[in-house]
Amino acid sequence: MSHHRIAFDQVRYAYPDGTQALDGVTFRLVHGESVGLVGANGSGKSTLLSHLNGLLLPQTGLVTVGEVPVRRETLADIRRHVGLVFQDPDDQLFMPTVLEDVAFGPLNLGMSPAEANNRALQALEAVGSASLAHRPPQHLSLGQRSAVAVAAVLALEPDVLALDEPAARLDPRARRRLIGLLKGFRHTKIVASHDLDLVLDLCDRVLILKDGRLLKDGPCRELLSDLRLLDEAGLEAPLSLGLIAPDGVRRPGPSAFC
Amino acid sequence: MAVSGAARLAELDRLASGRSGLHALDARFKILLGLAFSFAVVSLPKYAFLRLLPLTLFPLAAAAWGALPPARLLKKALPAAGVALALGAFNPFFDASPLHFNGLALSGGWVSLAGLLLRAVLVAFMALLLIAATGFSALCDALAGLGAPRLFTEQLRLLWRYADLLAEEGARLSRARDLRDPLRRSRGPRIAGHLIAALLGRSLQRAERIHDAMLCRGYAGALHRPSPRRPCAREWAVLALGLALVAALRFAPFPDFVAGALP
Amino acid sequence: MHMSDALLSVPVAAGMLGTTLAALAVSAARAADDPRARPARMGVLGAFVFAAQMINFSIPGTGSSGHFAGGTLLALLLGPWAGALVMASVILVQALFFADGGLLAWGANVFNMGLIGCFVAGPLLVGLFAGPRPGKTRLRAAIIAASVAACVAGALCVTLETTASGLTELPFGRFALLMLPVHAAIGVVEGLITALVLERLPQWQGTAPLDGSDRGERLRVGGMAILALLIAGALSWFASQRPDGLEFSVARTAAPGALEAAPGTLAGRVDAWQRGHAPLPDYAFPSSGSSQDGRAPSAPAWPAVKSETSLAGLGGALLVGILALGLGWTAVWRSRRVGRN
Repeated sequence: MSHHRIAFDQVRYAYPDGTQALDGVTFRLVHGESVGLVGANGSGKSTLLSHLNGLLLPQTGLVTVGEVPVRRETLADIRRHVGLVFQDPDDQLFMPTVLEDVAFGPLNLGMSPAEANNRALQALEAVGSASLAHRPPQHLSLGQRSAVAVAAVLALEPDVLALDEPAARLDPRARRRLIGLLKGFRHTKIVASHDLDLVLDLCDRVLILKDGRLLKDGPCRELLSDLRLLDEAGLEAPLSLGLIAPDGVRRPGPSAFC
Repeated sequence: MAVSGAARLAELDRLASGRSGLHALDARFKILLGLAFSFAVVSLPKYAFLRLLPLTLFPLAAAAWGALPPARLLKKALPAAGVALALGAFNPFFDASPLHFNGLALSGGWVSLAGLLLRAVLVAFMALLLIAATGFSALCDALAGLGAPRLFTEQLRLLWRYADLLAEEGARLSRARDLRDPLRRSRGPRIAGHLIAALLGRSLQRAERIHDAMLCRGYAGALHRPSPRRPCAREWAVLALGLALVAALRFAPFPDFVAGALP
Repeated sequence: MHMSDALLSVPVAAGMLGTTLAALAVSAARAADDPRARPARMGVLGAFVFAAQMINFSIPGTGSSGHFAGGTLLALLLGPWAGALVMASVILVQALFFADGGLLAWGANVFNMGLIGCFVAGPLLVGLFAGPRPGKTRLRAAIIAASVAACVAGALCVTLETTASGLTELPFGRFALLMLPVHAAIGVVEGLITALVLERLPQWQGTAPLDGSDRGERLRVGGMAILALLIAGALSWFASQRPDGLEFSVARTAAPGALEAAPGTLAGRVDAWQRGHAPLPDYAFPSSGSSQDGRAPSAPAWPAVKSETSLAGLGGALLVGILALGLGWTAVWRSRRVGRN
C-alpha cells in the first residue's frame, strides 16, 4: 500500500481559544510531488502540517494517508510513513549526541541498537553530516543542526517528508546546501515556508492559504507570479522572478512572466 | 551569574571528554568510589582534623590519574566552604575544650572549625572530580545502571540538554530588564516574577514542541537506552583497589589531637 | 539553604539519603501514571527552574538579593510526584556543578527543599488552605501560606540535621530562632512569585491547582500527616516532664523498683539490650555532646526546647509513617497482582 498519497477532505480545526485555524481545507497529494505551502502568519500552515501525522486531529473532515485515515488508533502506523521536520532544530535534537538523536526514531520502530545505528549513519550520510555523529547537538552551528534534524526524520525512511520553515534562520550558504539536499530526495515533499524563492526552487505546485482556507492550488511558477493573488494572501513575489516595479515596490501589475 | 554558571557547565563538560584511564572507568564505579570517599570523610569524629589529611591523597591521586587540573578544580571547590564557615564560625566561641598535639595546645572549637572547612572542600572537590571525569550523559546512564528509575534519569538527561538554552533565554530577559532600567528601580521581586513567568511560558511551549518531535519519531512512552556493558576484570580490580585505598586512608593509625590540657 | 556533607554525620547523612532514595522510587512509580509527567515536560521544567534561579532580584527593605527556588511551582504544575523527581534532578546538578554540598548532602537537600516543598507545600497545603473553587485572592494567599510552611519546615530540618550531626556548636534553640523567621520571610517572597507566575499562565486562570478524584482523601491524609509531624517536632517540647499517669500510679502504690525489670530475668535482659542499642533512649541523645555544664537540673525546664526531643519525635513519626506507607503500598501491590491473575 503506497503511503505517498495524502488527502485532506473538508478539514476544519479550531484552537481552544476559538481561532479557526483550518476552515474546510481540501486537496490531494500524489506520489513524488513536491508541494509548497505558503501564506501569511496565522494562515494555518503549521496547523495543516500538524494534521499530516496526527499531532492534531481534525474536528470535522478527514485526513487520509495512503488508504489509512488519520485517527488515534492509526497514529503509530502513520508516523512511520509521514516525517515532520519542525522549524527549530533545538526542539528536535534532544539527545546527548547527534548519532543518538538520529537513532531515536529507528529504535522506536523496534530495531536493534546495531541496526538503528546503521540506519542513523545512513541518514547522516544522506545529509552530509556523518562526521558530526558523536558531537553533542548544542555544539553545532545552526546550519549543521538543521541538517541533522532532517536526518533524524529521514532515519525513519518515511514516504512523505513535511518541513516547516526549513531554511528560516540559515545563512545563505547553509540555505543553499539545504535546498540542494532537499532537491535530491525522491520523497513526496510538502514544504511550508515564507521563503518564496525556496518554494519556487524546490516545488512544482503550491497551496496558498489565507485565514485557514485554501485560496488557490496550482502550478508553482504561475501562482507565485500572480501579484494580485499574492497581495490578497498577504505575500510578495519571490525576488528571483524579478517582478519589481521601478519604484522598488512589487506592485500588482500585468503579469509578464511565463 | 547566568553567564558564569553556563560557562562553568561548559568547562566541566570539556574536561569530561578526556581520554585517561579514569575517564574510561565504568561510571557506576566512579559514583561508588565517590560515595565511599564521602562516607569516609563524614565518618571521622568532630575533632579529627589531622586524620582528614591522609584522605586528601585520594582525590588528588584520582585527579592525577585523570589528568585533571587539581588547582582549577580546587578553586571551584572553595566556595563550598562558605556554608560550613557560616555555621561553623561559632565553634570557637562555644567550644573551649582543650586539645593538644605534639606540644601544641588548641581549643576544640578551632580544631572542629578547621575540620569543617577541610571536609567541605574535600567533598566539593570529589563532586567536581566526578563530573569532570564522567560527562553528564554517562552519569545518567550510570545512575540508571545503579537502579535509579528510568523516568528520573531520562528527564535528568533532558534537563542537562536544555539547561544552557533556557539559562540563555533567562539571561536575555534579565538583560532586557536591566537595559531598560538605568536607575535600578525595577529590580524587585515583582518584576522578577514577570520575567520568570515569561520564561515559564516559553519553556512550556518548548516542552510541548519537544514532546511533539518525540511523538513524530515514534515515541510511545518507552525510552530506549543501550544496555550497560559489563565491566571488565580490570575495572573490578580498580574498584576494589579504590575502596581498599579509601579504607586504608580512613582507618590508618595517624596521630591526631588528644583531649585534655598539655601534660 | 543548602546543606553540606561537612555538616553531616554518618547516621544523619545515611538516613536522609535512604529516605530520599525511597521517596524518589515511590515518586517514579506514582508519576508513571500521571499524564503530566512526560519526560520532555519534566526535563524542560527542570531546566527552567535552573534558569529561573539565575534571575536575581533585590528584596525591598533589606538590600539583600534573593532568588526563586521553584519547588512549590513545580509541584503545582506537575503534581507532587513528578515535581519531586524534577527537584531532585535540579539539586543533583547543583551538587555536582556548583559543588553545593557534596554527594551525600544531596539526600538531605532533596528532602529539605524538594520533598518537603512538593509534598507539604504542593497541591496538599495549597488545596487545604484554598478549599474548593477558590477566588484569585484566596488562592494567592493559600500559595503564600503553603510556601511559608514549606520554607520553615525545610529550615527546621536543616537545623535539626545540623544539630543532630554535632559538628557545629550552635545551640539548637538559638539556631532555630534565627533560621525560622528568616525562612518564613523567604517563603513569603517565594509564594508571591509563585502565585504571580501561576496567575499569568493561561491554563490556571480561575482554577484550583489540584487533581480531581481522590483529592478529599489525600487532603485528609496529608493534613493528618502534617499535624503528626508538627506535634512530634515542636509540640513535644511542651510535653510534661513529670512521670506519666502509669508511672505515677505504680510508683505511688507498689514497692519501689516495681517498674524496673529485675536483672537476670528475660525482661531484664531485653531491657538492658534495649537501653544499650536504642538510638535515642528516653527521647534524648545518648550522651550530651554539647558543651553545656554538667550540673544536674533540679527541676527540668519547661517547655523543654531540645533538639533531641524534636528529632526523636520527628524521626519516630517519619519511621512510623514510612513503615505504614510501605505496608500499605505492599498490600495494594499484592492485591493488584492477585486481581490481575
